[in-house]
Amino acid sequence: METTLTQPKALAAHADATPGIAREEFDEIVRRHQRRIYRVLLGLLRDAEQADTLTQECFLRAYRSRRGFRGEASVGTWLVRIAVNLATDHARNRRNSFWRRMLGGLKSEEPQAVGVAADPPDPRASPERELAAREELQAVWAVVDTLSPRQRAIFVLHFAEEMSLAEVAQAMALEVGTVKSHLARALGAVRKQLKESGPHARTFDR
Amino acid sequence: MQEHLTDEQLTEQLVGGAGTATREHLAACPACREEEQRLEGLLTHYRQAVDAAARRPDAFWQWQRTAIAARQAWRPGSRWLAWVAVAAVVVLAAILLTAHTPPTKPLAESDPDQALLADVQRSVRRELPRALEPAALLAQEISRGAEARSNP
Repeated sequence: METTLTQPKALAAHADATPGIAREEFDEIVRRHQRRIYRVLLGLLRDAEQADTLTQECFLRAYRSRRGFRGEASVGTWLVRIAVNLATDHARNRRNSFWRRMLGGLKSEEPQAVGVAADPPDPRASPERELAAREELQAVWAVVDTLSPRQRAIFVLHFAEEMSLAEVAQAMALEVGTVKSHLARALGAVRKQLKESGPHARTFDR
Repeated sequence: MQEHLTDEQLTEQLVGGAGTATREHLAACPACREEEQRLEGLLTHYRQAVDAAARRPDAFWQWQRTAIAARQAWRPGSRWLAWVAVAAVVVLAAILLTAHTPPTKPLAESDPDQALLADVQRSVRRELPRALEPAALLAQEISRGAEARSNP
């Protein structure tokens, strides 16, 4: 269940009346949401070390700006919004850093991507089917990597985090209709990639 | 009936809120139904893969919480505490240095040349040389005796 500042009451009191959340309460918020924030960041960045660093940064930012939290969204959605902003800033900095390295003649250091290798094999599936599934999944990861930061965030929040369209819209400060059209474009890119990827791709021509 | 569902219609079906036309088309078109099921399975697979990749042992989460708490303690709002601590250390160091400074010996005691020089300076400052001091005393006694005789 989603944690909101109306549950428990102690948190609501802090959010509405006295600005600020007590240290002990914030520790509980970290405990409750750290796995999800880490997972969101890992889905966005595919870099375990960066996901850990930015998870810590996300909670530090939340702690510093906790007085500005008014409870319009749930704590979880608020944290997700901070995490997405951090990931976007990180991606921008990495792009800038890439160009700096290129101009400086230094070797680009890309992080070790995680994802497909961490996928647990299905013992019931045949080797062929498992290989096909793995390739399809790899295609999804590849497509997600090519999406714009906003589209990628929407895709990850909805399809990996199972956030509703309304929650995604709130986290991204967008209209629900905009979220839906971003998802449609992202899915279109996934389908296109699947059609083009290897012999295991199914034919589905329109 | 349209040939096949568009990306938008398939998305609506997958995220919920598909219209009647989309649902009717899916019921009548095996290819679109298969595509919808394939995408649904793939997205489930993707969700499971992200979840599996993000799994960490309890020690990792505990360590992360400790790191966050430690960094919270050093937030910018508490910098004045750091400055107070630095000032306290400086004052303490100054007190300790003052208390443990060894007493400075007079230069004359530590250096024979300086002792000789100081002795010479003392001698120079005297009104009479040391060798003439007995004669001066004798002259004083004579003058006192003469005064006594002239003023009985």
